[in-house]
Amino acid sequence: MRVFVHIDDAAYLAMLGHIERSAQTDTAGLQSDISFYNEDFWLQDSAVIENIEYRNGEWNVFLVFAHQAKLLKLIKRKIKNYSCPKKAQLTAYYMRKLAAKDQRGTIIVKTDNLTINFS
Amino acid sequence: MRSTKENIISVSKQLFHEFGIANTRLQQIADAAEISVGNLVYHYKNKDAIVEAVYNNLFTELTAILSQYAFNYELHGFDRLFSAMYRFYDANKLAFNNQWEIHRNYTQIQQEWLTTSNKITLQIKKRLEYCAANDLINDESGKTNFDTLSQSISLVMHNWMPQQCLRGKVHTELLYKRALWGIILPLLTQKGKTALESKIG
Repeated sequence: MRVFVHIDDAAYLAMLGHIERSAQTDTAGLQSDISFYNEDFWLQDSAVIENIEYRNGEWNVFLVFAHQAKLLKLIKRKIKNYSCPKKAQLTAYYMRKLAAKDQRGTIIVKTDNLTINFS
Repeated sequence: MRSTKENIISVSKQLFHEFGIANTRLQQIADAAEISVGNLVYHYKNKDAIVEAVYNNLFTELTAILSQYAFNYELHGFDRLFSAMYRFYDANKLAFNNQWEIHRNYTQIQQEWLTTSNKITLQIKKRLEYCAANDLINDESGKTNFDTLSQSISLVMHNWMPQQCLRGKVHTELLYKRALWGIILPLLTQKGKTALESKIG
């Protein structure tokens, strides 16, 4: 016999009351409720840059997703690690092609867009 | 295609309804399911296990009916509940055929059955209170005893069909719902009647 969870009558009635109230409250959701969708939207048009780093005796493959106009807006994610650098390069090449919107790599990031004051 | 277990439960429901749990033998179930007794015992080691599986199946259906509470409002909710309960009893007549057998020999199932039917009664009570608060049901004095009323509705809900079967009378969804609405209709306000007509007709 499967195990059932038992609650007493008063608790069950209180729960039904909450359901009744929540079901009857017909209010529109807030724009901020779906902001997570907009927040990730820039990733679709971002430039993808492969990045291989040698750490702890292994070559780690990273992908950097960078915003074209706002260069400081970027995400760096680790994909995999290899003990062989050639394998890491090959993986990085294919992973970049897979992740980038344009596979030929025309979406690039220009460092000139960074307006840094060196003085 | 149904699995062997589903097939066993389906034929067991039919046989338990027809002969009762106590009078049904494993051989009968195996014959009806077109399998050997050995195969039947492989899936369910004894009759108690089959009874348990059959009632688990019933509780799953009842849980689905209970969960509909959140999706059907006001008087419309009553109508949906009555329809669902009629379909449940029509498909699972063993539920009322074997009440005493379950009461005597299957304590855990009986306990679960009581809990579930109590939940249905509580749902009816809460919905009645909600309708009264929204002027769909007449409660001018504020003293209407929704406990008694919900129990009356629950009694008819669970016992209408077995009584019809015992008397050899026909049982249809329309008659079932008419018997249940007969309790609530006299209490409806004008607003309640209008709401009911617009939603159910």
